[in-house]
Amino acid sequence: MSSKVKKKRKIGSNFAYDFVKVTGAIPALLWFRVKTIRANENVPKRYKKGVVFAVNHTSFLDPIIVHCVLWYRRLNFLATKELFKTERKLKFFQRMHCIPIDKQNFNISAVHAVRDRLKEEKAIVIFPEGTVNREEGTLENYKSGAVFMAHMAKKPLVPVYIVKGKKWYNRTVAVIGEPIDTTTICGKVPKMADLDNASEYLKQKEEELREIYNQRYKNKKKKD
Amino acid sequence: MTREEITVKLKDLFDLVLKDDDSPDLELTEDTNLVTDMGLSSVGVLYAVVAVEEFFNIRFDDVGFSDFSTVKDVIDYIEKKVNA
Repeated sequence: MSSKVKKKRKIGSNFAYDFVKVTGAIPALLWFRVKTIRANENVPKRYKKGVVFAVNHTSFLDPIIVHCVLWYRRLNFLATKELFKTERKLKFFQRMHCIPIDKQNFNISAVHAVRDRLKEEKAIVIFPEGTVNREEGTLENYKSGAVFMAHMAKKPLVPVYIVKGKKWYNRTVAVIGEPIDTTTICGKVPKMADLDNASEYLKQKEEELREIYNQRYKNKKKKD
Repeated sequence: MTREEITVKLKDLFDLVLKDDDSPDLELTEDTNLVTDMGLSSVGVLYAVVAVEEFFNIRFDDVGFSDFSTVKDVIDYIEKKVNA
């Protein structure tokens, strides 16, 4: 009986999310025409279990682009609390599986929410830069939150690098990197400094993804 | 669990997860400030909270970074939760 109730609630809770995702997919795919490339053959084609995706933040449209890249998953985004100001916005973003995070006063409820969702094998998307970075080809300092959350739930951390087209008709490209096992880098019981170092490592990995993009696209264009 | 026991356990825990190998031993008193004395970032405070949750087997309610400024605040909270 209880499992039936649970299943019913699950279907209901995803309806609004799926509806917005499906109806928004066609204009988003036509507009961005996202091309997804894997950094190498070791990168899985799809992630089916709990995973944390760390994505560079180039614009407010990134959540839509990430949905185009990882179209096969329902994604849970960490979003600034300022987006949840009114009751209507709060309800909307909660239905879109967003987890509010207070950037001024980091709250433990967001950490609990992320841990619970990862335990349920859901996918979390975090922008480790913490803010939109409009400077092309650069990355802001990465905050330790993404590494901390992946390590806490013992789930892989996957770097994703998005390159938006310079002009409106250029395709958006997303490069997906190899999953990072934070326990291997930080140890089972890491110190805070280890988490900071792992964040730096994550940033380096994102820069490597940018290099992969440059090698495959920019240099090719120059040759042409 | 007494307040002294909590303080000793908390010091062990902070030594384990927050102290660098090359930094001097932490002089943990109830007045020690988490940010200015211990140099914790916002993520550092959350990490400490999660470590405390696992170590003391308790679950914190919706608390934020600014709810804990000194070690005393943390001990008060743990004491309240453990002895509830």
